[in-house]
Amino acid sequence: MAFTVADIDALAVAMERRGIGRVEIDGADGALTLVVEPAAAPKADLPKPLPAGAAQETAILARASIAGRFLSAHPWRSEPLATVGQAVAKSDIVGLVQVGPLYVPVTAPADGIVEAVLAEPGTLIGYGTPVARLRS
Amino acid sequence: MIELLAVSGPTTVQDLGRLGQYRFGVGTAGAMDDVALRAGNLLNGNSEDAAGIEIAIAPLRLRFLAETQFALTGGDAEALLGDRPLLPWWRVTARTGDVLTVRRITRGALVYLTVAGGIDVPPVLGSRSTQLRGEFGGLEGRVLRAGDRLPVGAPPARAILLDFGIEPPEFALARPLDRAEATVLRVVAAGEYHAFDMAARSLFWSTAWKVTPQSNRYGYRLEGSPVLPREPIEKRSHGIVPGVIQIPPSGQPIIQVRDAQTSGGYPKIGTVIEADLWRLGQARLGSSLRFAEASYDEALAARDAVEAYMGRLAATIARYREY
Repeated sequence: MAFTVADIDALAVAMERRGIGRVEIDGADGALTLVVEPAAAPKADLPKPLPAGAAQETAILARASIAGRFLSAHPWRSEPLATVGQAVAKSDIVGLVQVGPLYVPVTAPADGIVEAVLAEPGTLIGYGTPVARLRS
Repeated sequence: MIELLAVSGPTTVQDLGRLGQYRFGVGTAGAMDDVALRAGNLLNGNSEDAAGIEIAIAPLRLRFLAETQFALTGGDAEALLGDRPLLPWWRVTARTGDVLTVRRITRGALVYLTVAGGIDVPPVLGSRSTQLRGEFGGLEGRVLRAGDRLPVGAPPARAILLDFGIEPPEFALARPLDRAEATVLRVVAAGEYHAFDMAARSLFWSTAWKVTPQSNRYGYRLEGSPVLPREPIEKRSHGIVPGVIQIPPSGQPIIQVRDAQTSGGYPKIGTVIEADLWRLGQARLGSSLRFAEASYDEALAARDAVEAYMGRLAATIARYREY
């Protein structure tokens, strides 16, 4: 039994999609327990509708949709995908998560201004990890 | 359907080539960077040999006349879908009427546009590749121009809905000899190698060969210190394959590539291994090439490494698609 980060992530995503809270796997050379915290569900990044007349600025989080290594720029490009103060549109790419040979985009859930990049380039991040904070 | 709006250089429809027709004197044609075309097809859920568009010169502009999933692979480019910049080795979905602009090729020499369903020009002799010499295949056997419309095949049943990218092969297939200033190609000795003395051979292996502007899909003409055989070699025309390095009387090597004739008479000093032809395809005019000696077994191992990379891409994309 040998799991890669990608395998574990695939399992975690499948669990979340199917509403499974806990999985335990026992093998000759190790054991794996996966627990999906309901609080980590990414549904939270959908901006809540503002009450009529509300004018306050709302923080919006762009979250990873998969676990893997966070990249702030494409390896062929020097400029980061998101810099503080940059205006982004909904579904613009603000970072990448590398899983094996795959690059999965982290996208802005709404239009906004990048207020902070929260993930450290090169580090492993999980499903639902906030990558950038935007201001509407 | 795709409509070409602006084309500024030799841009053609290519698949993996017209194999099995050599005995009739019909060359393979096919993508110069086969790794990029195959990977692009994988990104779109196509079979690896579906036809795509090989873009050699920017700017290029085209319009998608229907919603189309597509990928850009090969070199890097300043490319926009509408006004949104695109990343390299990436797939996205264009809506009906969206315009793709490739402004400038910034890395490598060739960019490949592949679409879910493939470019559906009629196959000729088993391939959709443009055979420029014979003027068949591709779109009317010629390079594309503004106003052309290219049919797109039916997208694969299990379409991939999410946008994502893959790691370019230079990371997975990196080699210790790689260096910024030159593309290193592995070469096996060919028929007339032993007609060159030690000094000529060592010149061949040690020279940083310049890719001259007289280089294209037919052949790459190189420039450097002349490599000459002990005495002039005269041979009758004989079969040659893409990758063969000939030494004409000038001593300046010519690498025959995808649109080369199927026969030639110049002495052959070596052959670029199949697994490195994509690296040659991405060498820019004016850049430098170096040759590294390889054995036949090393050439096979290098091909296995490319296949392993493609297999890894296919498996990872298939797993991601199931999410």
